[in-house]
Amino acid sequence: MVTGDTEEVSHLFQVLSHPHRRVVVYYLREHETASFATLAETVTGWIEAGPGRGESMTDRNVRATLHHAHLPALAEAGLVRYDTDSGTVTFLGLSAAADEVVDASLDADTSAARLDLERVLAAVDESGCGQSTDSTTSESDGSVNRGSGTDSGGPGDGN
Amino acid sequence: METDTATSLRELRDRARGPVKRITTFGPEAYADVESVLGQFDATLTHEYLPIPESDSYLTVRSGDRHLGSVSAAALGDLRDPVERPPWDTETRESAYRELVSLLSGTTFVMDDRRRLVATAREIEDRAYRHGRGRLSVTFQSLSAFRAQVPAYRRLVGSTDLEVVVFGTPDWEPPPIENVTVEPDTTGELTEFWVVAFDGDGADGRKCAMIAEEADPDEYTGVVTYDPAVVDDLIEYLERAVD
Repeated sequence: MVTGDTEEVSHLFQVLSHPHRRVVVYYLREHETASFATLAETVTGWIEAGPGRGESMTDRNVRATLHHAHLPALAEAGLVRYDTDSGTVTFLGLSAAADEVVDASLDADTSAARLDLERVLAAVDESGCGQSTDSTTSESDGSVNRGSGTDSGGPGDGN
Repeated sequence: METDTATSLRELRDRARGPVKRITTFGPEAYADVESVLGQFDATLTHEYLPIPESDSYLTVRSGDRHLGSVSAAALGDLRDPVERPPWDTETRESAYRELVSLLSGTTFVMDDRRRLVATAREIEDRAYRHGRGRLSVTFQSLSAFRAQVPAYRRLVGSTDLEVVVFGTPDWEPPPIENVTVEPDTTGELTEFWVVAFDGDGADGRKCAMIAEEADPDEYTGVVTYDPAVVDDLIEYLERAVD
């Protein structure tokens, strides 16, 4: 059972290796669905003035790579549905284990310390992130507002 | 006025208006005090929840489908209390508020706080200061209002090759300052307006101006513009007014 989670987590880590894909997931976890324009604006602001500031990429390139690479990759991984006709992106949810990985990566992407994601993943692996849940996926949990309104960190805390 | 391009400062201000822009804030919550700043601009305001620390929050400005830029909320404090002191007179070179003012060019603002209007005008002065050459035209409701600014302007022309032209109703005679010309205005129109205009040292891409009217006591309705045609007409209008 832990093996299945670990594989899923490894695969998720691969898919989320690009920061723009992570930002899309952070947004969609809260909002479930978004227009392409909103996601592009979220990512552009994130790298221009938000937690990812410092990366230099024009908003045109953000839009192009989002459309041609990142959203298709997230769709391929079963995380989102990307309707290119309507320009709508819908979140398909995460398993509990995957959700914890995304929590940890959000911590890493926003903490002042800028944790190394590789280290976060290793920590998640060691602690056996699947232990508290069974391995069935819980798609409807996609929009749980984890951590909203509190200062408490995710599972990265106390490591 | 004899010109057929501009008949009043109000008309020029209205010409400086552009399409309505959209401001989106991203972060854990919509901050009431920042919203009160953003709310002074005639823009569409939206908040998008993101579970990120307040210090990582950000806002974006767009016009239609066009992304114009982003401002970091690490500088939220500066949006609430923008730097009033002129850029040549302070250590604070970066200003999130000036950045915001710049992104919201062409957007009408209504401000009931004179200090904020000063901070808004700083965006124009900062551009002139950074280029260091060209002509900066500044109107005062009366020349006596210029009195408090004399030291600041002395330092501005002292540290640049800028030429400054000061317009105002002549109720006080300023001391002579090299590279500062004083133009007494007797039309009376300037008493209700505050105009700061930089001629860009001749380059269209550098031209900018703020035109604000004190529509009610201590309430200013104005706009910042980078439209070179409006800036040219504005400077010409001011110069004709005192001829």
